[in-house]
Amino acid sequence: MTQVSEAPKQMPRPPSIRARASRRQRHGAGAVVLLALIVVAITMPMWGLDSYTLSVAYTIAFYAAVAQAWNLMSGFTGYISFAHGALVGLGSYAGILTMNAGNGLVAAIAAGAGTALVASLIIGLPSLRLRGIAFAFATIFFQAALLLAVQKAGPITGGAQGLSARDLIPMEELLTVMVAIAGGATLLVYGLRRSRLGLRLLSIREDETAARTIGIGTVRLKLSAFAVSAIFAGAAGAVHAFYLSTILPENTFTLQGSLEPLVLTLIGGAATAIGPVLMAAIYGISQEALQELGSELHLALLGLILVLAVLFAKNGLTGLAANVLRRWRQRP
Amino acid sequence: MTTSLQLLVNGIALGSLLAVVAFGLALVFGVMGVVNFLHAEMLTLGGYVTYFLVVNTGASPLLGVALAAAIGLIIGYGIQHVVLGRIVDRPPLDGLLLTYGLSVLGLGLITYFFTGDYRSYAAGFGGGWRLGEIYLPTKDMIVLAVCVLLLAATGALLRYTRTGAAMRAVAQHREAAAACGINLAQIDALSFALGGGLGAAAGAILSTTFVTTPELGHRWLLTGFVIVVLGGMGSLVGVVICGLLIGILQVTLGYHFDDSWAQLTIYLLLFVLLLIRPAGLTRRVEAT
Repeated sequence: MTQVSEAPKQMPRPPSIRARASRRQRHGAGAVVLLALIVVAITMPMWGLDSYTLSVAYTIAFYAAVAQAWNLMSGFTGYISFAHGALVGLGSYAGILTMNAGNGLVAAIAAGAGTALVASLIIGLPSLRLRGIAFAFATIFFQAALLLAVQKAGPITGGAQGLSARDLIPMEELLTVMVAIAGGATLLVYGLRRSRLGLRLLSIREDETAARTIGIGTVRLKLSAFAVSAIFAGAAGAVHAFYLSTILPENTFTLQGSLEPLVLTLIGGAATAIGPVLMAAIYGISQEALQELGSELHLALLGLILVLAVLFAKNGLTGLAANVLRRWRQRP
Repeated sequence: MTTSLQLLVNGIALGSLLAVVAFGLALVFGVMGVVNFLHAEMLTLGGYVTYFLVVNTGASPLLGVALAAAIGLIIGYGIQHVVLGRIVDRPPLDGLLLTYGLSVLGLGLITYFFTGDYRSYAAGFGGGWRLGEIYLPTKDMIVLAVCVLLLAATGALLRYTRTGAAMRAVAQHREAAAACGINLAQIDALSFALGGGLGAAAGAILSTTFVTTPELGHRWLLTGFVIVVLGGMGSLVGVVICGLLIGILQVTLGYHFDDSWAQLTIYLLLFVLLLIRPAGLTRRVEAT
C-alpha cells in the first residue's frame, strides 16, 4: 500500500518578473562576496596569524567542506545521507595509508577522494534506485558496517589502535588545501543553483515522479550527485587526517561526524551556497566558546537544533529569514 | 549435532528478545509511518532503569522490566503529544529526521547524566537444566518467557481489543480510519507509547545479559531495523519469525567466527534486502 497521509503540497506562487530580476542582481553580488571570501581564506596563511587562529580557521573550512559535500547530494536531491562521516573517515584512512606508503599530499587526497567515490557507488547502486527512506537507511547501515570492518581489518587499518601519519604537514598548507576544497564545493553549489543541471537535481527533491515523467534520468543524476559529493567528502577526510595526525576508528566513524554536515546544511539552508558556509563559521567559533559544555552536551545540542529545525524551520535559517523578510515587505 | 541444537536454543532466546526490540519499531512504523530512531534511547533508558533499581534496592530485574515498560509508555505518550504530533502530515523523511534528532539529543543527555561507564549487575538467574546433551540456562529461559509474554500481550491487545482494532485500521488506511470516527492523534499517541514501552522493556531485558552503556540502544536498533525490513513493516508474525531467524543466525555466526563478523553479516543483509525486496521499506502491512 502506498503512503496516503501526505498533505496536499502548497504550490509556491511563481515570483513576479521584477522579483526575478532583482534576485538575479543579488546572485551577482553573491558571487562577488563568495569569491572575496575565498581569496581572503586562501591568503590567510600569509598574514602571519598565530597557530590558534589558524586552527580555528582550519576547523571552519573543514566543516564548510563537509557541509557543502553533503549539500551537493542531500541538499539538492532531498535524499538524506547519514554516511558522510563515514565517507570522510574512509578518505582519512586512504589518505594516511597512501602517504605512509611514500606518496605526496596530492596523491593522498586523490586516494581519499577515489576511495570515497567507490564507496558512494557501493551505497548508491542498490539504494538510489529506491525512493526516499531506503537511501537514508542504507547510509546508516553503511557507516555501522564500515566501523566494524575497519576495526576488524587490523593488518591494514591498525584495528582499534588506528593509524598515525609518518610526516607532519605544516598547518598553513593544510589550511590552504582545505579552503580550496571548501571553496571548490561552494562554487559548485553556487554554479549548480544557477544551472539547468541544478534545476534537474532540485526537481528530484520537489517531485521525483514528475521529474521522471518529463524525462529526467533521476537515477543517473542521483548517483552522479552522490559521487561528486563523496569526492569532496573523501578529499576533505584525507586532509583532515593529517591535521589530526592520528586517527582511531571510533573517533573517525562517529555519529557526530555524520550529523554535523546534515545539521549545518539544513540549518544554513539546503541547496544554498552561502548558508552552510555561514553555519560552519558559526559552529566552528561557538565550538570554541562552548568548550566547557563537554562533548556529551555538545551532541545533545546538535540533536536539539535538528529537532527545532525540522519542527520550525524546514528551509533553514536562510529560508526562515526570507520568509520573515517577505512578510515584512508584504505588511499592510 | 549437539552444538547445532545448543546454538539453536541460544539463538531462540536471543531471537525472542530481538523480536521484542523490532516489534516496537514495526508498530510505530505500521501505524504512524514513522521510522523511529528514538527507539534506541528507549532501549538504553530501560537498561539504566533496571540497573539502578537492581543496584539500589536489590529488587529482581523482572520488576525492572515492568518499571521500564511503564516509564517507556509515559515517555512515548508524552513525546508523541509534544513533538511528533506536529509533523503528522509531513513526508516520511521528516519523521525520520525528527526522531534522529531526538535520538541524538537523548544520547547526549544519557551520556552526560549516566557517564560512559560500563554498568552491569548480577541478575541472579544462575544455574540451568540439562536436557540430554543440551544445556538450558535459567537466564535464557526467563528471557524467553518474558519476551513471549510481552509479544503475546501486545498481540492480544492488537487482535482482541477495540483500541487494537483501531490501531490496525489506522495502519491500513489513515484517512478511511479517520472517516470512521477514529481519533488519529489518540491512536498515534497510544502506538508510540506502546512502542516506547516495548523498547524500554526490551532494554531492561538486555541489561540482564549485556553491559549497559549509553550506546546500548544504538547497537541493537540497527539489528531491529533489519528484522523489521525482513519481516515486512508492521507485521507481528513476520517480525517474530524474522527475529528468531536473525537471533539464530547471529548466535551461529558468533560461535563459528566472532560477534563482530556476525553483526557485519547482518548489516550487509540489509543491503541485499534492499536489492531483492525493495517493498520491505515502503509497504505497510496490517499489524496482526
